[in-house]
Amino acid sequence: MRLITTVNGYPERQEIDSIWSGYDEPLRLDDEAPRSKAASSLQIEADALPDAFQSHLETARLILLHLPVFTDGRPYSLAAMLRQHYRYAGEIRVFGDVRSAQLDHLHRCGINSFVLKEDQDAASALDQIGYFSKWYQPNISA
Amino acid sequence: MYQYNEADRRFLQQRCRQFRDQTNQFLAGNLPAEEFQQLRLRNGLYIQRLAPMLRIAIPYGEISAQQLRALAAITRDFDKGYAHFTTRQNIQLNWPKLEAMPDLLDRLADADMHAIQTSGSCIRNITSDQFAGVAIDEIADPRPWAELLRQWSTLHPEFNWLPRKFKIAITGAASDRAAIAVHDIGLRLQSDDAGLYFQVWVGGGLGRTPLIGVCINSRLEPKHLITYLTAILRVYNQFGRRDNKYKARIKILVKAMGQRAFEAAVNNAWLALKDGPETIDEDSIAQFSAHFSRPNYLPLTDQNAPSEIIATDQPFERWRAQNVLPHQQPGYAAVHISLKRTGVAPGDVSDRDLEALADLAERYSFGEARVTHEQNIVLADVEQSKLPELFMALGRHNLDRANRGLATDMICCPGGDYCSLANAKSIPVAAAIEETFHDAEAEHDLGPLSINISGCMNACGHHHVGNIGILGVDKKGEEFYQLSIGGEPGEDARIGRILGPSVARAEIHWVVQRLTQCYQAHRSAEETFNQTLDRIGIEVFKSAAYEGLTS
Repeated sequence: MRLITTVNGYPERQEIDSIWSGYDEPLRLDDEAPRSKAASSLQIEADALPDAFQSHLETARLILLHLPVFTDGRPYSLAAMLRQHYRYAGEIRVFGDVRSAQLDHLHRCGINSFVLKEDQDAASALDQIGYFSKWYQPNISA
Repeated sequence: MYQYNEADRRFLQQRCRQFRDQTNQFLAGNLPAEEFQQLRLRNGLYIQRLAPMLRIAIPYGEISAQQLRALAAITRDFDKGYAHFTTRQNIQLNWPKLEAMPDLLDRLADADMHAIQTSGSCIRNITSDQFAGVAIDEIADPRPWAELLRQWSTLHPEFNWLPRKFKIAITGAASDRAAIAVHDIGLRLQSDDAGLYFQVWVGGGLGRTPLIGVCINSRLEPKHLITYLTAILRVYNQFGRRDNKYKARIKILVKAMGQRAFEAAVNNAWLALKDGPETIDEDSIAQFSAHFSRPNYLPLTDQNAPSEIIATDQPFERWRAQNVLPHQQPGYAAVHISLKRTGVAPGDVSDRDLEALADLAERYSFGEARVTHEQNIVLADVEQSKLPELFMALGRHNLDRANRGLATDMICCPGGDYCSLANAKSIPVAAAIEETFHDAEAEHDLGPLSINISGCMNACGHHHVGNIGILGVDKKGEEFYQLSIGGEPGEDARIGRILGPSVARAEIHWVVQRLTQCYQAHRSAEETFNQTLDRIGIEVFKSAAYEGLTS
C-alpha cells in the first residue's frame, strides 16, 4: 500500500501513458509513449468502461483511477471490477477528490495506492485503514 | 430476533467513535460542511426545518422490549419525550442537538441499535413483513435473509456512494405486506419441489416518478442472493445517472435501459461474482436462521379463530375482529396495535407509550415487538386466552383503537410541521380526516380503505399506493392537496390515478368523505374501493368529489 501526496492532488504527468473515459478510445496518449506499445500505465476516468481498455490490462503495471468528486461511487466499482472481473493484479492508484474518511472503503475495493487531496492529513488518513476491527464483507485484495 | 455478538458490538462502538471524531472535527472547523453532511447522513442525521432529525434503524421492524425502553429514555434525555415511526420501519427523533449526537449514538449502541445508513445515497434499512415467522400464509421466514442483507449492506465498501438512496424490501408470504413492488429491489421468497428461491424485482419506487418494479429473475437460488444483488448494485453504481438527482434512482436506469438490457448487464456483472467468496453456504444460512427460531410456545389449542368472530357492539369483540390476526401456532395470535389515535400524529409515540409497549411485549409476546410500514406496532406472539387482558391493558394507554386497515389507519409523513422538504403540512390533514371518520360504527361500515398522505412528492407517506392518496403541493405559497385514487401497495401493486385539480387544506377532508360516500353508494356487496372504482370508472368519483367546491 502506498500513500502519495502531491501539490494538487493529481499524479505526476509523466506517469501516465493513456487516459480512458466513457465509451471512447483513449483521449490522448502520452507523447513519450510510443503508440505501438501497449500502455503500461492507464488513467481511468470514472465513466470509463473496462471493456474498452481490457486489452491493455495484461501489460499494465499501474492504473490511475480518477475520483472526480468524493461522492462519486463509480471508481469504487471500477476498482472492484478490475480485481474481480478482469483479474488485474497491479497497482491501482486513486487520485482526485480523495479524502481521509474514504480511505478504508477505497482500500477494501482493491485500491492499493492513494494520491491524497492536498489539504488532507496523511497521518490521519492512514489511521482510517484498520479503524474497524471487523467488516461484514470480504475485502477485495490486489 | 438477531442477537448481537461481541464483534457486532465492537463494530458499533468503533462506528460511534468514528462519528464522534468527525463531529469534533466539524465543530472545530477542520472538516468542511459538505463532507460532514455526507458523513452525518450515513449516521441518520438530517438538518431539518426546526432542528436536526435523527432516523434510527429498526432492522426489518423487529425490536425488543429492552430496545423500546432505551428509545423511551433517549427521547427524554435527548429530545422532547416523543418520537415518530416511519413508513420504512424506522423511528425518528425530531429535536436532537448536533453536539449531543455522539452521546446519543453511544446510548443507542448500548442497546444494540444504530442509525447507520438510514439516510444518504446508500443502501437503507432492509424492510420486511411485520408478521414474519407467524403469518399463516408464510412460505418461508424472510428475517434470516433480511439480517443477512443488513449485515452485507452495512458499510459496504463499494456501495456507500450510490447515485441515490437504495431501498430493499423482502417478503416470504403469499400476501405481500412489505410493498416489495415499490422498492429499488424487492425480494419474494417462494418455494417449489426443488426448494426455496427468490423472485427478484427491481426498479420500483414512489417519489417524483412512481413506478412498479419489474421481475428480472424469477428463480434465484438463495445461495446466490448476495452475489446477484452485488451485480445489480454494481450496474446501478456504474450507470445510474449522477447529473440529476431526480433521475438518479435505479428505476430511471431500468426504464432507460429497458428490462432486457438491464437484466443482461446484471447477468454479465454477475459472471465475475457467481459462486465466488460471497456465495452463501448452508452453514451460514443455518446460523442466521437459528437467530429466528420459534419462541417457547406453550402447547395450546385454538380457542376460536379470530376470523370466525363477527364484530358485535362489544369493544373487545370489535377490536378482536379488526386487530387480531391468525397465527401459525395453535392457541396464539398476532396483535396489531394502532398508532392512529385521536389527537396524536399518525405513528407518533411518547416515551410513556414506548415504555408501555415494552411492558406489554414482555408480558404478552416474548419480549419482542414489530414495527409496521403502516406506522403501527405488532405483538406477534400473544396467547389467545390473554387477549381480553391485553385489550384492557392497551386501553389504559390509549392503544386499543380497532381501526387496522380502516379509514383512520392513515399512513402519514411528518410533513411541513417538521420536514424541510415538504410543500405542505400533512399532520393537520390527517387530523381533519380522523375527525371526519371518527365514528367507529361508520368507519367499520365503510370497511377496508387506505388513505395515504405525503407532504411533498418525495412520497414518504406512500400516497401513490393509497386507495386514496393525498399529496401536498405548493400553489403560489399556499398549501394545496392533489388527490389520486386506486393505488394499491401489495402483490397487486398499482399507482393511483390523479383525480383532478388540487384542493385547499380546509376542504380536503370533505373531498375524501365524498369519495367514500361515492364508493358506498355504488359498491356491490363485498367490493373493495378499488374494485368499485375499476367497475364504475374514475369520472363518477371525480364528479362526486368536486361537487360544490369553492376552490
